Amino acid sequence: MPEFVRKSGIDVIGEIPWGTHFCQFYQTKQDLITTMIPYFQAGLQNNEFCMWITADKLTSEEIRQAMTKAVKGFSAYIKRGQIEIVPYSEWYLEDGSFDGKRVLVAWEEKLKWALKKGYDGLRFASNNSWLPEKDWCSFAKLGEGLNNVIGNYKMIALCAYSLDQCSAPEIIDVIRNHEFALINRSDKLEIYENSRYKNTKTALIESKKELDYLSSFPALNPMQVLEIDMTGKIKYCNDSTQKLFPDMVAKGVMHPYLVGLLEMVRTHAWGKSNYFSRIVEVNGQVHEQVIYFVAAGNTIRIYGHDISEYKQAQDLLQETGNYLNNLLDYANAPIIVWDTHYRISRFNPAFERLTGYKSRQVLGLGLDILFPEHQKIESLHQINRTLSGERWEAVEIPILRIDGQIRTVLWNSANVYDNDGKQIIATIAQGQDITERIIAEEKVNNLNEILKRRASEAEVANKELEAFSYSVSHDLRAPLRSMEGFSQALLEDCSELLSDAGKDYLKRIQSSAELMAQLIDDMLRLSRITRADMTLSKVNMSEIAQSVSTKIKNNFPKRKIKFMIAPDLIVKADKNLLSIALENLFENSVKFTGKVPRAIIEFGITEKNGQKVYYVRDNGVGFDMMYANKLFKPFQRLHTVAEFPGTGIGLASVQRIILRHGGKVWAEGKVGEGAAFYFTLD
Amino acid sequence: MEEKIILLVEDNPDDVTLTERALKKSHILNKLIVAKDGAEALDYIFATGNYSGRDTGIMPEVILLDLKLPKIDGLEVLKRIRSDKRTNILPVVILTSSKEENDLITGYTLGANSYIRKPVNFNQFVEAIRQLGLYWLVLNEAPPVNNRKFNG
Repeated sequence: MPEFVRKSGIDVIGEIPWGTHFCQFYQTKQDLITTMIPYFQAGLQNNEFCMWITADKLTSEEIRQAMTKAVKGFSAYIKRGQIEIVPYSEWYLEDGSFDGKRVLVAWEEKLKWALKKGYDGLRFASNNSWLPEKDWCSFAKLGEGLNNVIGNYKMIALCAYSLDQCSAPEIIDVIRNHEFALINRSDKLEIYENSRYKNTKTALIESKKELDYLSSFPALNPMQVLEIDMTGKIKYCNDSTQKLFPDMVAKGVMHPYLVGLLEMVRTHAWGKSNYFSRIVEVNGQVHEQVIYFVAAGNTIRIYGHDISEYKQAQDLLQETGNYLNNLLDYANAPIIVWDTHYRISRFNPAFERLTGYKSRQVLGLGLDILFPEHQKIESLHQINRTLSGERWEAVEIPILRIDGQIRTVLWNSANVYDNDGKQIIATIAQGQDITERIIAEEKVNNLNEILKRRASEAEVANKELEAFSYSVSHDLRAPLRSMEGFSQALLEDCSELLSDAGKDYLKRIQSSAELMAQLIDDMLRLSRITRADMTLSKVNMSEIAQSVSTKIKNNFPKRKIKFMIAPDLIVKADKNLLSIALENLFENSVKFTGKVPRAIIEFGITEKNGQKVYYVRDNGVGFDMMYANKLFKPFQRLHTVAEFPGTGIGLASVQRIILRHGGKVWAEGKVGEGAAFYFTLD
Repeated sequence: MEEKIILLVEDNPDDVTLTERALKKSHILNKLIVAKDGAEALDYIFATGNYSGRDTGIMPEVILLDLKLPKIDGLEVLKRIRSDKRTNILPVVILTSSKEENDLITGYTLGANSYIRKPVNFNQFVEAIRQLGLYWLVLNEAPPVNNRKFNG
């Protein structure tokens, strides 16, 4: 900021403030040079715009020469236009006549221009010795006017008067209108001060010093300090503001920092206080402003500071808070917080659901309302341990609901410490209601018990079945052998005693005995399929089918049978059992194609509802679908033994094997049009 | 030359009769000793009980052993025969009603020389006995005699 106190350049004067208007009474050219040269030298060196209005004694050319000699780099000042040397006629006179008002305005314009150019102010000197007597009066008025102008602006003026040309009244006039006067006497410069100005000046300098001191507060304040008037013009704007917003002065009240401010001030409901605050965002930074209305000057003062970081931290805190709140509110797990006095300080919705209490009912209450009476002491003891720093890990503490129901809950806890991390201030605990789980576990345990019992029952039944089959296979056949054997003995030994009918009866006894033996064997075979241990492995059904078909071809060399076997049907199954099943299916087909000239037996794969379905299809006698459900029942037959031999155990075996693999078996057919047997394997 | 004895271990008298008839029909005329249960069979073999004093220098050429027997069952009898060095190489043929897998496996595991299931059809039974006799009494070379001596 340009200094308020300027160097006059003239030793006897020293420093002078802006607004100083003084004069010199000279007699010789040298008198003028003695004062003017250092006067302008100081101005040029201190970034002031200088203007020298010339008249008597010194020509513009002489001045230039003298200045060039005395002031280092004077030509540069000239070139830059910092100093103008103008003859009085050009400045004061227009059409040869003097107009005081016009000159006053011209000075003001010149100052404005100089400030705009970036100069600190305007310093000028004017030789007024040209003044004709008739204009003295109006010029004196100009002097008074200048005083007003200069006093209020950054202007310093030195008016030179020729001592020889001035009458005594004129000298008095001049001295009255200037703060002080310089007079060259015996080559010595003397100063005559106007006491009125002297006092004013001293006071002014003093107050200015104080003002400087005071204004250093806003000036040096790292926060933003501004003053605007009610028209929106910026009256003051401290360094930190200009640094932060270089465009502040240019944009004025339209600056985003000040946007809407005037309107706010106008419409603000001013109560007792004369200030309010607001927050504005500029360039992504957040600023807080305190706005004072200064009634005396009808101005607004703005004290602002950047709170972006604080705001960020606050937002983060808020966000974290929201996050935690959401976490607590939407957590499925019941969560509770209690303070060091065992008072409930937080109770989330899941906890409300667990207990039936509403949060507002229990906040501030002691924890003990949550415990069933008979468990209270034990539970409080557990709570006590958390406050001595212990953490719960799956600690079971039952909870008493508002409706009297008791829930079994597993708890985890953590302590919340103060900032020092030493003092526990609260404990947070999260529960898991395992009541249903315990009930479910009990159910599972019960089911397991039942299953175990059933399994051992099944084992007993299996053992009984085994004993039964053992007995059947050993004991039931012996009487049959007797029946058969002794019938044969009778036929052989006593044939002449027997009639033909008698012999026939004996043969019937024999064939019945044999049939029964067959039935017993079939029954045992079926029960073996049921009892056999299963070992699952990868089984190539196509290979099994191939070997079965080869065996069949060997067994029925006279039959014409075409086998069509799909390749690589690989499944996971018990190889022995599956072989028996395929053998039975193939033999079944062979049997029922016995009466067609060219039998075709096909083993393949198809799909039903996305599941692999295997089939054995033949072009044999087929069957009526009405009896399809009888096909797989043991000892059930659709044909007489005379038509097709057998006891009806083959397909029953197939069904048992497929069922033991978790699959399904079914048959499709039509009388005279063949049959197809389908099966799936889990 | 000593007589070739057949030891039939069979509790069912009908089966005994039918076996005798089948042997006769197959012209197998060797001496047939019948033991009606496992204990009696062991008594005979090891000359104990009712058979104490029997000349153990004479051992059956073949033992036809039923499995399901009173007192001591056939598999146990087989086990005892095989675990005694005086008899461990005696030919034992299991002749029984059952063809339960367990019986077959245990029978062979314990050292049975053969396993024959008695057919219900008598003619088939006769055929089986005939072939049995032919094989064990005619074709098969019995183990050396001194090995079969009780005090040998």
